[in-house]
Amino acid sequence: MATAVFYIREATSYRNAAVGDVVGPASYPILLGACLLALGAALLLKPGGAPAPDQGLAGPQAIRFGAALGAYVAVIEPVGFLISTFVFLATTILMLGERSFVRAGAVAAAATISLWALFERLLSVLLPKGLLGPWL
Amino acid sequence: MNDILQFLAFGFSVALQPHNVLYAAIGAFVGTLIGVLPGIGPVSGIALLIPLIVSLPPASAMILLTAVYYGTMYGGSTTSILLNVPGEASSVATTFDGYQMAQQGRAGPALAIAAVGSFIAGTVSVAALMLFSLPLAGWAVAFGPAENFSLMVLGLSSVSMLTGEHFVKAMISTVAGLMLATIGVDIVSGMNRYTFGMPQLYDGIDLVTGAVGLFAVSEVLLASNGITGAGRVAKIQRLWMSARDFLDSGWAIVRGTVLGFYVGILPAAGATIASFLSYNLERRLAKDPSRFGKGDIRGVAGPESANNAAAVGNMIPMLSLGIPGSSTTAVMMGALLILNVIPGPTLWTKHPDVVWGLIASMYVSNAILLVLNLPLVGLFVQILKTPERILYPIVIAVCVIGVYAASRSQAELYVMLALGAFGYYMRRHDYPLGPAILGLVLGDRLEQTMRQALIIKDGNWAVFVTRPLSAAILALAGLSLLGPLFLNWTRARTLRRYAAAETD
Repeated sequence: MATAVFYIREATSYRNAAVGDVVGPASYPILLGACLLALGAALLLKPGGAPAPDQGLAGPQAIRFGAALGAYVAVIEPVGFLISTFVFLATTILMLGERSFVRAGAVAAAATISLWALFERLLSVLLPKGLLGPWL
Repeated sequence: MNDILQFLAFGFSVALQPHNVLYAAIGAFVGTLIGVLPGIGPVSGIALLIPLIVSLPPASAMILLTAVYYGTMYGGSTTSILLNVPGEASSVATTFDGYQMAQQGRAGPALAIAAVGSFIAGTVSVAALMLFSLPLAGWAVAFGPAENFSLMVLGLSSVSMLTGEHFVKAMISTVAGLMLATIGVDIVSGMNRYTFGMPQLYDGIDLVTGAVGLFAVSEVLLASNGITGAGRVAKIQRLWMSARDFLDSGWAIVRGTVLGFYVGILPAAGATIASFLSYNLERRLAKDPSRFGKGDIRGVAGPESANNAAAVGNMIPMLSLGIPGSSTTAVMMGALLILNVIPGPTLWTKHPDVVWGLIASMYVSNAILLVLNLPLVGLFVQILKTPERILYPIVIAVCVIGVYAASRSQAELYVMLALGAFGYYMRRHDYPLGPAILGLVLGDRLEQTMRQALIIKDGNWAVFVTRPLSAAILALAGLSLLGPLFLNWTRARTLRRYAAAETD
């Protein structure tokens, strides 16, 4: 299974490299593409070493965590840092095994506010205000 | 020699300015924290700080980052000893005897010897760094683009050779990093490459995004699969060691320092290998090797000294040649580039305040860490007791803030997410991540030097092999690639012989 994935990856990268532009800017990517092709072939011929760990591509937890992160990243600008971070933290803390809703909420709120105070107030990093904009 | 002392005095005059001492102290503290926290290591830690330091003068910025680098080494050993969880790969060797000592109620002496050993190793090797770097830099000033290109090829190939078990995968990781670096506007022709029409990608992949995505996000994703309760933290009874402990480990510290420093200079060998080599050396030299693995203090002193000495040795190729020797120094070099300071031989003449201030600040941060760490162990233990289900989400939130702060763009966060998934895939399939980040940092300059060299010679590719120095360096790179193949071959042969002897 792993080898198939390698093959696809290397094939697409080769196509990208070859389609690359005129001679000047393209020669270097082509060189890289060729290297990757050769290495991919080497891996195909001799996939030795440790066989790919037999855990499948991703654990369900990692997928859920990744999805939560994706959602967080998608809404951080429109909704704003404070709300989205609080929701993200509370959700993921519960997801990762916290049983008490109250504790998850309290920790998330405390962490959100301290991060905000540290970065926005102390280090003057501008974080997205979002929906709370008028009150901040 | 006198020159060096004068320069060093100048360096101290920079490093001892009150604000720089403060930066070193902050860096040391933050670095230790990063070293202690799971999921965030020196690479992503330093990368996250980059957006915060761009407004500082370069010397102060580098002092801060160096202190962070040092701090992560200390922090990593703390968790190794108390929890059997190495914060960084370079402190894995410390867990063998360090955790055993902690189990026997000797966590205090173990932490103390780790701190003292690191301090001695750090201080001695900084002295050696000064002696080595200046001549090397002087020699490298004469390098043209062809030599620089070959040197980078050497750096990349030796990293691939040494970081992973599986060297084809390490090479693939390097090439992947180099490919990521080609995304964006081509500097020479102004053409967009691999941006797939997305204007957000025109600037290429930001170093902060790359390091955080590949290292931190992927690590947390992977760890979230197997979250368990917090580990058992060993009790600390006595914070200091006895004179006997120190005498026992004196030679281990000396050997670890020398070994670590030399290993550190080699491109890419780095702190992890140095610490393992030192551990094996100590075990081999010991009269009673059976005590190792059961809480022998020398098994902590040697590797801890070695990994710190190697961390300093690692700076030599970066400062004098502009070739980072490890993923951490690669990120530091990226920070220098962002600060508009070009690392390499010219650094010593153009920015003496940065180089010498940095060197002097290594002494300062060593001293700060020694003073800071032992009393603060309790605080770090408290942090370690925080369950992972709470720590990991917060670590990710910090990553998001850091990446956002660096770019002020949501698109960069998506790139981080994509790289996180990519890094996750690589970790899952045993691809080492270090070479990828090195490729990402060096990629632009690799291509630039290659094209400069080619333009000078009207596109004649022979330029890389007809210039003697460049050819010699490339030959070395070739050797470093063939080396592991040869080693594998001999190992396989010995195994076969062994098997044959068995069946007889």
